[in-house]
Amino acid sequence: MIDYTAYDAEALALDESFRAWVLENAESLFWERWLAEHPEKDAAVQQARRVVWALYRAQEEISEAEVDEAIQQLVQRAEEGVAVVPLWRQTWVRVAAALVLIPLAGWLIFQRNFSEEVTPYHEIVQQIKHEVKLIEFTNTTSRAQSVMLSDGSSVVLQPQTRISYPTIFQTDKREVVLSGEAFFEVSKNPEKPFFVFANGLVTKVLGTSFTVQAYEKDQEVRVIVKTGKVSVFTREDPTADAKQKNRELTGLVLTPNQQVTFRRADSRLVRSLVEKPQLLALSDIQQQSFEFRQAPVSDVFAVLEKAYGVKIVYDEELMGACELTATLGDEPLLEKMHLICKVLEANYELIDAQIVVTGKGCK
Amino acid sequence: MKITFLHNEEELLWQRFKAGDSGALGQLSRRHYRALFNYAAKFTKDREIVRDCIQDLFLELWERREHLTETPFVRIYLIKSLRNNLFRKLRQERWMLESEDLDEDLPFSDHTSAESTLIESELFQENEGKIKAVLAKLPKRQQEIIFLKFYEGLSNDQIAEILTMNRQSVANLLHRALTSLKTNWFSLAKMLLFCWANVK
Repeated sequence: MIDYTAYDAEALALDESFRAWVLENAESLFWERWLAEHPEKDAAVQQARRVVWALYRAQEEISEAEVDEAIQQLVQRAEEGVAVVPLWRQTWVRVAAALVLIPLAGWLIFQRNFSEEVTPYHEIVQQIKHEVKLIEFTNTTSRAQSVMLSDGSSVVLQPQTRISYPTIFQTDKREVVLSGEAFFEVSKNPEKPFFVFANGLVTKVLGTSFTVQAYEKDQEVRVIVKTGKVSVFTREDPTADAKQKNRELTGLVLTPNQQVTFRRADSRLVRSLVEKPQLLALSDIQQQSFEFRQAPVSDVFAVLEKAYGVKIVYDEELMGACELTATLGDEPLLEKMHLICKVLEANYELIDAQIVVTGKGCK
Repeated sequence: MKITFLHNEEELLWQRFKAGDSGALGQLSRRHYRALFNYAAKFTKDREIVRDCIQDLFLELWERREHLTETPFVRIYLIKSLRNNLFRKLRQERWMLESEDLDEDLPFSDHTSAESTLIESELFQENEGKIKAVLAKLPKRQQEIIFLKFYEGLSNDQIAEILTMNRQSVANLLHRALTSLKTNWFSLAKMLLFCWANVK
């Protein structure tokens, strides 16, 4: 049972059960008893009720009489059997479509090299969609942004990067589809290998951190390993299926500071060492080490905020004086937060893409 | 007991609809009509277009009734379909009128001309208008989200499905909408108190 005593008027107004009570008198037994037990919440409840009602009423646009009339008309039309002609079947649309499509087809054939009709990204998303519900997130900002996955892994997306991932992963595997560049910190779970599909390349890991660069416009896909081991193979590989199912990491195995380049044109995989100049081109987080020696918490949080593109909210006056000595590695962001909070005897919560840290401070 | 009974009634209605009983169509449509109208009216001031779109939506279901295996009279499904139809239609309309390309973001109506025939007293109507004015100041996505949350009572997951956004973005957007509402909150809260006194 939810503890509503901590709820203020706004939280109550947002609560589904509360709204159902106000608008439909549902669960009234529970709410009436609760209110009787908590008379001090009366003011908050009344205010929340007003908000719920007002926001509900403000949406009304049509009178009962108008609804009657519309329904009558609808039934009449249904009885007359007036067929709704789907848009694509209307003659003028077909003619217009033909006029547009014929030159367009010619143009497409001409432009084939540049614009494929179905991008690899969409193709794989469609395939995975048959098995599990996917969410898509696109970083349209000019800074890096983080996405937290349901298994605790974190993904830092560079601008103009898109990722599709399941709300909840399947029981035997974790699959995400990427277009663009992202840095992954995958939580360890050998039972459930983690796959990144990107422009014809499959990266399989059991728990590690690495970057995938796979922009649709680029002719190359690149995977760069920071820690741990990953295996990489192409989607066209006839043994790809077996490699995906295998519990071991097979295929081309990469270790830290190695990278693989996949040339899309001839489907060739090339393994090489990460060179210094290339490292510089990478996003900060790939190169970053999170080593803190008696560092003020405000600095630690600032580093994490920058690296992951998230906002960390905390009471600076209370906690700013806390110091932290820790070496953080390739744990996903939330695991890092967990470790930090353990040291500080604080708690953290993920609220609206912000990490809110509460604690009693260290004075 | 009651639940079983309702369930059977529901089942019966659906069977009648499939068998081609137009009365069943009327009954099923009526349940959703108001909500769909209120939703669509957020996107355009043209009530005619809204009416047409909803009618077409239901007539389409009627035409396809023999091929349907599950009832399509489910609020989220209807909202989603209506949203698609409406956007297509509005885009078409714009295109014919101005022959310029529209981007995805259609403007939300500003509500100032919304004639609410429903409201009982003049006094209340005045306040109603103020709430609408406050809501109308929000960007259209936020207005839509407030509607889905507070009128439809949908969960963030359901809203995410309709808007094809992820759940986190829905939560963020909702948070932002409420924050901007609160910026106008002082005057709104006073007014709400006033409303409440009148309604009681």
